[in-house]
Amino acid sequence: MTLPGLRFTVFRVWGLGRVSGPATGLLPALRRCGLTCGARQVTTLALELVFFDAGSGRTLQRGAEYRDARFPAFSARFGWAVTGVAPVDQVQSVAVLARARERAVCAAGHTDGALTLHRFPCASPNASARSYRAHKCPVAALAFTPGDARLLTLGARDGAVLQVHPPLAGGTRGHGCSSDRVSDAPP
Amino acid sequence: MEVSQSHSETRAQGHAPGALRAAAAHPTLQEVATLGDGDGLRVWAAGDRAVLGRVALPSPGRSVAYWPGRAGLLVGLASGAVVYAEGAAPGAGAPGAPRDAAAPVLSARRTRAATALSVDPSGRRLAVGFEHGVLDLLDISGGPEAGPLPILCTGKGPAGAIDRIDWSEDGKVLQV
Repeated sequence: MTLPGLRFTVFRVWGLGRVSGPATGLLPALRRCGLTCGARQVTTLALELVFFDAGSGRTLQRGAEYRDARFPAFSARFGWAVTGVAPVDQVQSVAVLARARERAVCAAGHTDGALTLHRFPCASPNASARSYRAHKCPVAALAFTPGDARLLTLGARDGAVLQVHPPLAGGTRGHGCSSDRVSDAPP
Repeated sequence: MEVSQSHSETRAQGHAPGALRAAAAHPTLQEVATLGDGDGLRVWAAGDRAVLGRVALPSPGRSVAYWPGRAGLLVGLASGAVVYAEGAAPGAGAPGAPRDAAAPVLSARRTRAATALSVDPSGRRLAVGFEHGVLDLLDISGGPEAGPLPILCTGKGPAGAIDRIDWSEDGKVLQV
């Protein structure tokens, strides 16, 4: 029965107030996610995004408490996804995430070992992305070096540490996206 | 290893037996640190792929972060402790030589794995996320020589492990 799964999503997202709300403009994405995910997906913890007050450790429940916060380092998977960069059906495949500090690029490591590069921020849910085959296992970690000169990727089980040198021209292929707008592609 | 794009290159193959767990980039230098179950912590030069330092850890590492302004790194262990791995600092010895340098324990309040570490923008606080969803904020302003890190506050986050922590620019909000 799938309906309880959907209700579970709504409860976690709205009942506990743990996911950012209208104040950050994420409401449409959250609604879409809740309505399109199947029961298996909505029971995973990837749909949680928790904000803490760094002074007290208190969980922030209201969007007004954190809507002005800006995050120079952005690695929360769900937080990134709901900004509109990731297709909803690929949220669960994102294992790790890293945002470049000086370039408008966000890198995602996937559970199948793929590496995708996205323009960030990006408001289009169908934006294209550059996709690369990187590891033969889930990507365990990503890290941009200073100046975004290099992107480091770790395979969880293949023992490999790879580095990617921007600019990352070529290698674009669809990964569930349909947009062909050049402006949406990562630089 | 099969890499389909020419823009990727093999940086190292066979870090060591066991899983790779975490990576961190130096805040200012072209250096990176990787954490594996087999041989602990390694620091690499991003340009020439040379191993600058290695540290064997007392327990498998689960998370790593550079400590801004310090020579060493902070490492979260499967035992729940947070240690300071100074022996992995560049220039600490012959490149690639394994070190038995002491990794002083800075925090050992938890018994669950420390799965995420993140230093705040001011470099004075350390957020530690654990596999049971607990978040500790520790005061690191005194440096590693000050001994065990004082705890500032604790929060309870998601039902599962905290695997990522992001600080806001002003250091007031944490996102996990």
